[in-house]
Amino acid sequence: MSHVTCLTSPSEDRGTRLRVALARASHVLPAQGPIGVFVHHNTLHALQHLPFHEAVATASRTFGAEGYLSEARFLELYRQGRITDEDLRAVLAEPGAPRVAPPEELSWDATALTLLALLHPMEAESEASLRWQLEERHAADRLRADLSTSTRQALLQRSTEGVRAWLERVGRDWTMTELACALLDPELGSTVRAEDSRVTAELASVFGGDGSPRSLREQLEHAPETFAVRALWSACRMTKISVPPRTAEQLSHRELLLEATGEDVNDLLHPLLIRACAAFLDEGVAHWSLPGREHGLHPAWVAMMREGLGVAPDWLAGLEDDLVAEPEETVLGVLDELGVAEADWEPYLVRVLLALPGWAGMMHRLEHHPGDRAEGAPPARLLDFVAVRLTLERRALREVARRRLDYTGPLSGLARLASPARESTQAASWRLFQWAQLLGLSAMDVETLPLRARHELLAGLEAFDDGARRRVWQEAYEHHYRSEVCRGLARNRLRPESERVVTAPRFQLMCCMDDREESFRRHFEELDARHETFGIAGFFGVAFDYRGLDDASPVSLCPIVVTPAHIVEEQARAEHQPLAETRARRRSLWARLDQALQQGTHALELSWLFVPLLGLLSALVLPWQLLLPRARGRLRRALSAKCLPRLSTRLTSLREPEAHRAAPMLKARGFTLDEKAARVAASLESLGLMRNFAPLVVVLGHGAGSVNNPHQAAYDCGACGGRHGGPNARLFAEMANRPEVRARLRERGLLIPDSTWFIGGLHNTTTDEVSLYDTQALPESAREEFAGLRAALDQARALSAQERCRRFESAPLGLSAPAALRHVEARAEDLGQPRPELGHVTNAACIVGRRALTRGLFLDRRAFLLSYDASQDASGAIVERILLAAGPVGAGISLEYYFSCVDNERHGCGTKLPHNLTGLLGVMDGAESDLRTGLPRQMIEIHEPMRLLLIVEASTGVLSSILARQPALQELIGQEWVQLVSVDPVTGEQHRFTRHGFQPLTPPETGLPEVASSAHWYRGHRDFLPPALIRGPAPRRLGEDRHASS
Amino acid sequence: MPRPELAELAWTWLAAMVPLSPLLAFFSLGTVMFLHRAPSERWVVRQVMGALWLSWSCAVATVFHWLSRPEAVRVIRLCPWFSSGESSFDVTLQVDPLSATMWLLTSLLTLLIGRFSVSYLHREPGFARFFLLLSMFSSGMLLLVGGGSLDMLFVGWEWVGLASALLIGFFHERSAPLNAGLRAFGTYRVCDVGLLAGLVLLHHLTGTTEWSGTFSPRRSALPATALGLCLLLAAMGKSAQVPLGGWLPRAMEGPTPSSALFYGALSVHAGLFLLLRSEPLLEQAPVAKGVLVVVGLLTAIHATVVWRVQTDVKNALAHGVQTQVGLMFMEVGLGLYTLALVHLVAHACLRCLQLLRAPSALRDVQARRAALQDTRAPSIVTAHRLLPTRFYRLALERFAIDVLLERWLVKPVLRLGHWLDGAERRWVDALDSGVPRPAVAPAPRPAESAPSNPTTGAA
Repeated sequence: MSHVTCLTSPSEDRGTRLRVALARASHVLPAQGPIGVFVHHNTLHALQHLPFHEAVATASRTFGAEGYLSEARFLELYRQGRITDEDLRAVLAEPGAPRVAPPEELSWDATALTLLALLHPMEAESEASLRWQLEERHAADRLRADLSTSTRQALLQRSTEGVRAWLERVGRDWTMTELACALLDPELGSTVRAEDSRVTAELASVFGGDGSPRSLREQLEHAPETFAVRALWSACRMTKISVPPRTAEQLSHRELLLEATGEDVNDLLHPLLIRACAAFLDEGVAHWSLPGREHGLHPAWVAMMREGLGVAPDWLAGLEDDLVAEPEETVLGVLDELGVAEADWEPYLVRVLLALPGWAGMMHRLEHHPGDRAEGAPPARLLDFVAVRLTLERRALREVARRRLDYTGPLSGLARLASPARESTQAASWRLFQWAQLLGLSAMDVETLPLRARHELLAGLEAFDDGARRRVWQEAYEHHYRSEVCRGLARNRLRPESERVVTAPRFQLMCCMDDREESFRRHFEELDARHETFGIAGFFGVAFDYRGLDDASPVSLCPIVVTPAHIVEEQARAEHQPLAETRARRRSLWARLDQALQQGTHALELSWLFVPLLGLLSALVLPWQLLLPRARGRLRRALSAKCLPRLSTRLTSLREPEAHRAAPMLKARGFTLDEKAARVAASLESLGLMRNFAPLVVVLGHGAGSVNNPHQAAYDCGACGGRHGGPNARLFAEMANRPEVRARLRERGLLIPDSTWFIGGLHNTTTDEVSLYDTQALPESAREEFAGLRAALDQARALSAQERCRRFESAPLGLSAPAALRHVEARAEDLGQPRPELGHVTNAACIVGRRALTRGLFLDRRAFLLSYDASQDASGAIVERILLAAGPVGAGISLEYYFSCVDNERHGCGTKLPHNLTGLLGVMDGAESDLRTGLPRQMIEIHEPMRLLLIVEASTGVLSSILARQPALQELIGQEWVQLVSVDPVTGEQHRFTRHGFQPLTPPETGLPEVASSAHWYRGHRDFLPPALIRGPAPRRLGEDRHASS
Repeated sequence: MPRPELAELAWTWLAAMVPLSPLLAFFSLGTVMFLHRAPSERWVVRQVMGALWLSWSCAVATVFHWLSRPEAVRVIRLCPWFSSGESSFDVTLQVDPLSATMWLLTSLLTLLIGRFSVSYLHREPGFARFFLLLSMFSSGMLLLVGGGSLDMLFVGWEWVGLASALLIGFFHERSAPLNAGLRAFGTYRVCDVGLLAGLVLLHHLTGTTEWSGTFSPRRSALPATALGLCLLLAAMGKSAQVPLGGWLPRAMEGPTPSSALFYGALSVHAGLFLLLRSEPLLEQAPVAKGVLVVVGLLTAIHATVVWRVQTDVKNALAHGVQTQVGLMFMEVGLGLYTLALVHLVAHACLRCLQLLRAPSALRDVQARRAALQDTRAPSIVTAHRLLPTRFYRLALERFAIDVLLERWLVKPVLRLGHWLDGAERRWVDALDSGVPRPAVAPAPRPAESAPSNPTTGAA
């Protein structure tokens, strides 16, 4: 017995260690779950514990991904004035900013030299590209074209004088050969030694004339540039510089073999691996699922390969011998064969996982979040995936090594075969040559610089590499926007309080914090000075599992970090119960029919009959569907209204406090009155809406609607876990209207007058449609006001649609508001529209504070807006709660867009056009590829990647103590994943949070443009617009002024 | 000139404009792009969509004109192309029930897909290229179905094949689309052998390839069978029949609308159209008809079994297409020509719509599940339950047809090629021995250097 234990325990140990290594390695995998629900999160979540820039650098080493926009794009922004010299200087002046230190011999200051380096990035040159530069682009005959005239003149003048002096020396202490060395090539002396005639010929061929000193003197007056550049190039080559080789990351055998042969073993094994993974994970596309998949991927695959009928390709011949039942044993066996030492397991597994990150990530995600799928789904295990992959990879590696390298030895010996690519030996001299020109140094200046100084200069510039430069650009880009917004806030504050604060509100609107609601709110307020709006996380503080009348199972409507403890159902009212049954029956009938048609057009069993019959029908449907999307949408709705009985429903939200639950494991059905009152109070408190209620208060959730769009969930409400927020709004209104709840609120000192009525609703961000719930319950007294409210909402949504349309390149500029509304409605129904809306593409900032801070400021749909009144929150408890909820949601959205935008191939999922929905889990490119995660290109095209600018109207003291208390916020803000600015609620002073604590911000004193309405500011523009002040409407009766909508 | 003749000329050119107007758009757009100009999206759309509208209107007008006339078949002679000896080649179009149906179908679907693609490909770097290839395809397909002779069909056939391969490789930054495009291209070339051989054989036998005159006189069964089998080979490649259909699922690499147009609707039915055109010939070749039924049946069974294990929408649709086209082959083989044509039109419209709606699959399933309230609706996909589970692997590997083809066909051919190449070198060296020759490095063996390349493409 003990003998056996002795034998097995080391291998068990190894197994445990392998699992640990794999668990660590798996952090690099994307965390996106099945695509039916899309929750925005930081793409680099695994590196979030690092400071932002460090994480970006690590990611670009590990994933080979870009972490910032390209330098070309930054330079374009610089030329457009979106980044200015002031921004760059401000960033460089900050402590800790990367800079180039000039050697003391050079009369340049560090900032100027760094700016020069930023504006003139050097590309790495290979042997061939360098030759191209020299021979085809005459880089050694002409100065750079981008030198300023003064630099150029000075350089030429000094250089000409210098060359003249050299020519004087010929015959005195210089031979012609020495002159030629100085002018042409430092190596010349050793190659054509002492043959004066060849030296002269060489000189003549380059400079013209006959090559004699006299002729050269003449040519010098003619064409001083050639002399200057040639001499400089020669001087730079005289400086021998060795560039230290870059330390390489550990590479897998696949990568080594790819480097050595150009053939990727993935091409061999991926078709098999992807099919196996897809067959295993499929959630309902296939009609015949992988036999035995309930045991896991590896066992099922092994059984299939052993027992199934089939013909393995030649490179897999003999696979049966490799098939071991235990995945652990398989992986250990292959790792041993590959010669991976135990210490290297983790980095090596990282490389293995990153060869097919999408599928591996899905396996990993489903292993740790089984709740993402229905009950009884087959058990996903990353180890199984690795085992299958390595089994195949071993064979593929052997095959490619044998075929391409004639190598049949053990795979562990493959590592020696690869040789890294090398940069040209002249590359460093070339860069010095370019730098000397930019700095205005002539050949003589370079030679007078001591060798140490040249090295120092070059090393300094090399150290300020592409990553460091782009980091500075990124910060300058953010600085520019930050100054604009902070200036806007400061200027807006200067306006009289009466223009920014509503005293006797007529309508109040509670929206989601979402950036897309910014324009809607602004337009609603612009209609009348008595319109007031608020922003709050779109679940309105009520987290619950919701099952709508037409839903099969409940889903959570709350931020992803919250686990709801309550269930709410939508049910038909008692008098409509029979109708509800009819509805459910008809829907089920429709679904059966739909399924039969779907299957019947594919499966041979019936398709011989269905296809000819239905096909002729679809000949009529096809033009209709493609040519008239809006009419099609209307028809579909009309049909479903005709066939399905409409009925009034209610939410089963009330629970008796004593009613004990059927089983303690089940979630509570509905909320007790106390729970309701607590939730309403908390939300209203956090909004700062404690008095001054309008007669009608609209609670507006939001969601998106589009067709033919697998990424639809990515447009929905992030605060509702990537779903529609309508039920939350409806429930909130219902709770706030309930007299018992109001009585409890009154006890707490929160007095909602009886004349106030709450209405829940849903704003469709794609079509800008606003639908309101339970309007039949409206008290009689409010009916008249309600008509006014509906009109105002309709006007605001049309204007908001108009503002959105300016960003759609395919919408004509200058659409009227009703036309814009028609345009966005058509987009939502168009099968051929990959951009039904643009989502959060414009997000850049998040402002937490009273609406008075931002009311009347045009923010271009770029800001999340959260209402918060610091004057009612002395302890900072409310703002702490807001930041804890909104900070991660906002940062998740902002960072997902950021990374999908800066590297759409690696972090995003590329263009939507070839996407192919797989297993109802995600999309592949074309017929077979990795699962693509992140956002598609169509969603980020016009995004401006910046870290979220979080502006909080709270004192620095309050914020500092919150940061100290909350590690989650400390990580986001302290590690610079989010920029934090504090606006003092009393004085309005602004402070920015940096690694060295809060630093005062002084926005420039210049004024802001002032316009009569938003439309005046955006009309005729496609691009981003800086903030502007909107002169608020003078208090007037609604309906008088309609110019904005015409 | 008397008026009726003038009118006749006008009708002739109206018919000619059907394939010609997309061709003109192709050349004008192609010239602009060739001159390194990047045309604006608006300009491209105006050119191509204008041409497609024109083509569709002309097709409708021509068909109505033909319907108003008494004759059942109308041959439109546009101009002589060239002649050699006794044979002369004319550029002709033929309007009859088959080509009229196909003209209407082709021009309408191309137009609709063009309209769809205007918004779908908006801001895509290859926008102009897509529309260039779309107009190329449109002219080729219209010529293919409307041409008056096998020669015309051949020209259209090649034109369509080229557009098809180029659109599969539309996203040329990645390697998978390129490989898939090469594979389709390779399969097409192999099967062109059939079409070309048929063409030559037909010329040899009858002296003309015009549909109206070709198959009328009765001939002995043997040449007709040979001819029928040649055309069958061509049709099998184009319409992705077993065992040459491996390219079709892989061809789903292009943008969704091009997949819908080519592999849901039109290009994939071109082979079937060829068979329908050869109806009189097939009637004389019972053996060819028998083979047709067998190929069609095998394809339908193969595709429907493989379809059951497909886990992604586009592969599932590709196998759905194969199933139906296999059935249509059977129908032709059984002599049910009209049924096959109706089936073709119905299938083209249906599958085109389904492919365009492929990204909706997730929402559709979710909506269905919600409406069923977690009960299960009875499935009609049941036949595979009769198969033992051992067949699952076979279905997942698509019956390993590609592996077997490579092992038994491609590799032997390649080996033969290398052997012949070596033999020729030795032979030439032996002939001019004494003259020193620079050593020629052996060329890399294509099959081994690019195993992921399409097997038939390498062949």
